Amino acid sequence: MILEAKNVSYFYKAQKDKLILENVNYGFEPGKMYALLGPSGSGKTTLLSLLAGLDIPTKGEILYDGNPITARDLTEHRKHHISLVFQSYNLIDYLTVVENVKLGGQKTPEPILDKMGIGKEFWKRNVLQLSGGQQQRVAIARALASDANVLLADEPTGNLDEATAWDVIDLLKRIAHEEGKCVIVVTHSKELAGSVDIAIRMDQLGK
Amino acid sequence: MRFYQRAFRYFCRKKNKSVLLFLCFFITSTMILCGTMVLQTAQATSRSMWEKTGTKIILKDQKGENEIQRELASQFLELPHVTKINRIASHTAYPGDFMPVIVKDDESDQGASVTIQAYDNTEIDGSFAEEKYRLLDGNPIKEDHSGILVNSLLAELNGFQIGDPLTFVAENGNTATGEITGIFFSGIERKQDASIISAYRIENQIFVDHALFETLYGDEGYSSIAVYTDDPENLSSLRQQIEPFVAGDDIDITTSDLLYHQMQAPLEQVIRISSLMLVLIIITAVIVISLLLCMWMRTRTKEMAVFISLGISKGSLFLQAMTESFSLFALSVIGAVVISSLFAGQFMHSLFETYELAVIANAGLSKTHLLTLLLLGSVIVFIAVGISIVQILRANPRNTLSKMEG
Repeated sequence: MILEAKNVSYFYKAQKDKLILENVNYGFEPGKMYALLGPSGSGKTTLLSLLAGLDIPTKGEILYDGNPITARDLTEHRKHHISLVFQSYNLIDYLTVVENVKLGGQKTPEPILDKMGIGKEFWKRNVLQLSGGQQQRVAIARALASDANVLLADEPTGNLDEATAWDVIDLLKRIAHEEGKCVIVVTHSKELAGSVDIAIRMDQLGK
Repeated sequence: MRFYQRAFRYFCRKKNKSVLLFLCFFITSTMILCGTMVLQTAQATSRSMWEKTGTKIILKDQKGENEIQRELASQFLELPHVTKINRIASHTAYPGDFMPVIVKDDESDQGASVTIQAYDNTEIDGSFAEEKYRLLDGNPIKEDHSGILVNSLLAELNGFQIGDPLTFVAENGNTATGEITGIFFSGIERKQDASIISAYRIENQIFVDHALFETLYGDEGYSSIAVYTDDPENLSSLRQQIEPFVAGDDIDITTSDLLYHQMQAPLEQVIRISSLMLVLIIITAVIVISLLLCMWMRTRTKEMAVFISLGISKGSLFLQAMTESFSLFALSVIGAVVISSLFAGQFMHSLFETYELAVIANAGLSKTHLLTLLLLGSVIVFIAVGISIVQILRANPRNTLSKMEG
C-alpha cells in the first residue's frame, strides 16, 4: 500500500460536535485509479486534503509507504509524495504554460505537455488564453512533472463539458495503469465512479 | 522554479501593479533621501561646530598678575573633552636693541619699557581675536608657529621688517631674542591720550611666544588661561571640574559659548524638523505600501495556497514576496539617486539659503545617505510585506482551496 488512512477522524475546531470523518481506515495501492464518491458534505474533499497533507487529522494518521506523513515536514510530503489536480485548475496566471508545468517538479515539461495533447504553439502562451479542457490538461501535466507516486484530483471534470471530461478521465486512467501511479479522484458523478478501478462510497469509510 | 524566478516573472508580467508600487517606492525613496541629506548634514555641521565655535572656559587673575600656577595648564589638558588651552601672560620688559614709541617724557622706569604679552595662540583669544588689532603682514603666533608681533608704528620707528631680530631685557637682567614674524595695526594708535605711559601704549604692546617669555621670566605663572572643549553641551560640567583647581585663589572663571548657541539654534531646529519629517515619511510609507500590498495579496490568496499544495515552503513564498517588492524598491533607489543628484542642489538652496544654514544648502549626496536610504527602505519593505503576507501564510491552505473551489 502506498497511501493509507488509519483510524482517521476529523472535525472542525469551531464545531467539535460535528464529525466530518470518523474512524476512516483505507489503503490505496499503486497502479490503480480510485474514486471517492458521495454527496456534498460527506467529507470527500476533507479526506483528500488529509491525504495530501494540506491538513492533519484530529485523530488517527495518514501513512505514506508505511510511515506517518507527519514524521517529516508536510511540505516534503506535498512536494515528493503526492501531486494535486483541482476542479478550477488553479494555474498561475502570470506564468506561461511551460512555466506552470515547471512548478510541479524537476521533470522537463515539454514531453509531458506533448503527452497531454498540448501543442507546441501553446507552450509560451499565458494559461488564461487556453480553453478549460486545455487548462485542466496543463494542470494534470503540472501534477505529472513531479516524481510523486500519488495523484489526487478534486473533481477534475467539474468545470468541463462531457466529451472533454471523458478525455481527462481516460488520461488519468492511463497515468494509473501505464505509469503505475495511484490516482484518487473525488467526484459526485456515478458515471465517472463506474469507470474507475475502485469506487469508494464515503458512507462505507466509517462515517 | 526558485523564488526569485517566480518573483521576477510576477513583477515583469503584472506591469500595472509593478509600476504603481514602483512609483510609491520612488516617491518614498526620494523623500527619504532628501530628508536624510538634510538631517545628516545638519548633524555633521552641528558636531563640527562643537569644536569650531571655540567654546571655552576662561580663568583670569583678578589683579591681572601672572598668578595662575603653571602646572594647572597641564592638569586642565588631561580633563575629558578639553581639546587645547591658550595660556596668556604679560609683563613689562626693557628693549635691548630698539626704541619704544615715547609720546611724553616720562621720568619713571616704565617710560622706556614695553609690555610683552605671551600667547599660545593670538588668533583665538585677546585683542586679535576681538579684532582690536589686525595683522598687516606676517603670521599670528600659534602653537606650532612661534615669533614676535610688533606694532607697525614701532616697526616704522626702528626700521623693522619681518625676520629682523628683537632683544628684550627683563628686570632681573635676563635677556631673550626672537624674530619678528608679524606686524599689526590697531587704527586708534594716534587717538590715544598723550598722558598714557609708554609701556601701556598700543605701539609698545609686543606679542611673543611662551618660550621667549620663559627665558625672560623663568617659571612665572599666567594671567589668564582659556580652556577649550569639544563638548559645549557639557560646559557647566567642565567648569565644575575646573573650579576645585583654583579654589581659594583670586581667579575669575567665565564661560564663552554664545557663538555656539547662536549657530546651534537654527541647526537644532533643522535637525528636529527633518527627524520628524523622516519619521512621518517612514510611517506614511509603511501604511500606504502595506495597504496596497494587503489589497493585492487578497487576490493572491489562491495562488499562495496552490504553491503550498505544490510543496513550496512558506519561507520560499515570503522570500518571493520580499524579492518582488525589494526589486522594485532597488529600482526606485536608482531613480531617487538620479533625481536627487540632479535636483537636490536647487531644492536645498531654495530651502536653506540663509547664511546660518548655507552649509546644509551645499550638502551633496554621499554613501552614508544612500546606506541610510537602503536601511530605512529595507525596513519599510520588510514591515509592509510582512503585514501583507502574514495572514496568508498563517491560513490553512486547505481552507483557502476549499473556498476557492466553492
